[in-house]
Amino acid sequence: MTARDEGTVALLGLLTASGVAVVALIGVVALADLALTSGRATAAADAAALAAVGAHPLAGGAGDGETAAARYAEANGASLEALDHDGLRATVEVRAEPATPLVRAVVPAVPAGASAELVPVDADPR
Amino acid sequence: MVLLTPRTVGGAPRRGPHRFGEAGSQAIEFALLLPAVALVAAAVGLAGLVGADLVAAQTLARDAARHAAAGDPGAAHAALAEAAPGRHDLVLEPPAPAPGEPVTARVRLRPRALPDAVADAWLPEVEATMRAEAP
Repeated sequence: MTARDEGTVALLGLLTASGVAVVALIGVVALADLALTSGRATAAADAAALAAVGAHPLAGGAGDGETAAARYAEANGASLEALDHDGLRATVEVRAEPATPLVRAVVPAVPAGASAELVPVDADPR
Repeated sequence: MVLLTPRTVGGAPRRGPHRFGEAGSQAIEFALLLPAVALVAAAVGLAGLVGADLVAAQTLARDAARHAAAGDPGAAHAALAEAAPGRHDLVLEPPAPAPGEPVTARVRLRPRALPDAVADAWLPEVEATMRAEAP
């Protein structure tokens, strides 16, 4: 192997390492975006479920649980997909879109769910 | 007519075409590329640390909003101060929400990996909104 060949191999190695590092950077940013979106979806699901039960007249609300759930899901950067509002208990499913277009192309939306219920504060646990 | 040709005067005769010159140029190219690779590798590590802090900030914002919605904004500030002492900003809007009103917690968590000036200029706020509950 001549000096020129050795230099070419070293350059190819460096270029390969650069490519791997750039791909790793994109991967880390994508993972962070997915984790953030998942956290946002979880917060949105919690807020939507709590808003749905909080809208119950017994909790001092106006009674429209679905509107309240959708409003709080959107306020947290997600959309309400399903609401099962059964009396004093609400179960919601929401979806949040990743912020990065590249991640959105692979994972269009991250789902999350949550449940909440109204319990009497003066209930006797016995 | 006289033709002039350059040739080495006095030194040792050349044994191959540009042998040492090529090795030197490859070494220079290697030395120029190496810092770029190191920079990208450092950026990967930095992005990971900043991403982890942003995810932590998201969780803290949700918890802070929950505390504020339950009518205990002091607990929201205390929870953040305990989780990230001296590295966070928390804004509650409104500071004292009426029952049924939305309350938003905005959190900025300064990453340990970034200087404060950079983090203040670039790091986005993370927020969570909850419905304030009746006491």
